[in-house]
Amino acid sequence: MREKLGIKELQLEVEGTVLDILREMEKIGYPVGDLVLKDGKVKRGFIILVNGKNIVHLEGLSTRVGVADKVAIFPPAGGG
Amino acid sequence: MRYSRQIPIVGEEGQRRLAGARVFVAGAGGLGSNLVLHLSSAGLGHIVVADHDVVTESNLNRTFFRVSDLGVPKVEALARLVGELNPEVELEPLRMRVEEVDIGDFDLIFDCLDNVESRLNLESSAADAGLDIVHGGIEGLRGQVAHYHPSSYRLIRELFTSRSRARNPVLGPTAMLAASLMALEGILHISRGRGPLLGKMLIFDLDTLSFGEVDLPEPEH
Repeated sequence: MREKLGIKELQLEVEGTVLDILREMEKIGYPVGDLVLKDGKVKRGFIILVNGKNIVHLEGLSTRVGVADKVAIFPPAGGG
Repeated sequence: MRYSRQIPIVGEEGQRRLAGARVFVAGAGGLGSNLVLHLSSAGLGHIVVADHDVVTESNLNRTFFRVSDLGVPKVEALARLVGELNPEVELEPLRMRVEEVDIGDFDLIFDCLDNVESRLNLESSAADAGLDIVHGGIEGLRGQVAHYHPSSYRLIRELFTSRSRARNPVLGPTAMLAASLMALEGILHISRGRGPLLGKMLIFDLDTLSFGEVDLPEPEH
């Protein structure tokens, strides 16, 4: 992801849903939606955590986030 | 003296704590076998390691198992290696599934497993026993390591929403880096009382040499 987006971290002064955050990133030149979304859902293999909690267990892409929240997007590795 | 180069880091008392510690390593593959060697070199006194598999040729790219170990249960091959590496370490090899192990009296649990189902079971048992887990996961050139309290936060439940199991590609250095970081956390947690990973997950991608950190929820009191 870092290679494709060219960033490791980004601070946004945005409040809204996780989807709003992804759209905001796209607006400022980081096409994160293409990377992690398919048919309006998070692609298989990727997860989105809000403060360490998977949005699957919250309200999905409609999970609300504020400026103090930390959103992490990555493909977890399951092998040992 | 055997530990003279690390005692300035962990302290005399820390070294004694390591010698008196008892840990459980779940899985003896790329993560677990390398982790056990690191912990043994550091003088961790009692290591219980469980794995039901035998060493196969496809294990050799990311482990220090040898050609002569092929067909031998991984935990037995590991016990032999540890015996040569540091005879002061008491290694208890359990050739069984992790689900069959009684998770009780340990200072720390290391999750080095390769499937979600077993990881969830281990997390649940550690939560019931009130024990911390140092987690590792690897795939290709990527991985994550974390140290958390499963009694208040279930990392595996958050990371893996599907229980599918696949034979993932993996390069030796990916496994060895993750195992080294897990060992670092264990050694510092036991010797100093706190490691740098506690309450955090470190995510890495060696393809781009990218490292990131995620704060995990604090225990609720």
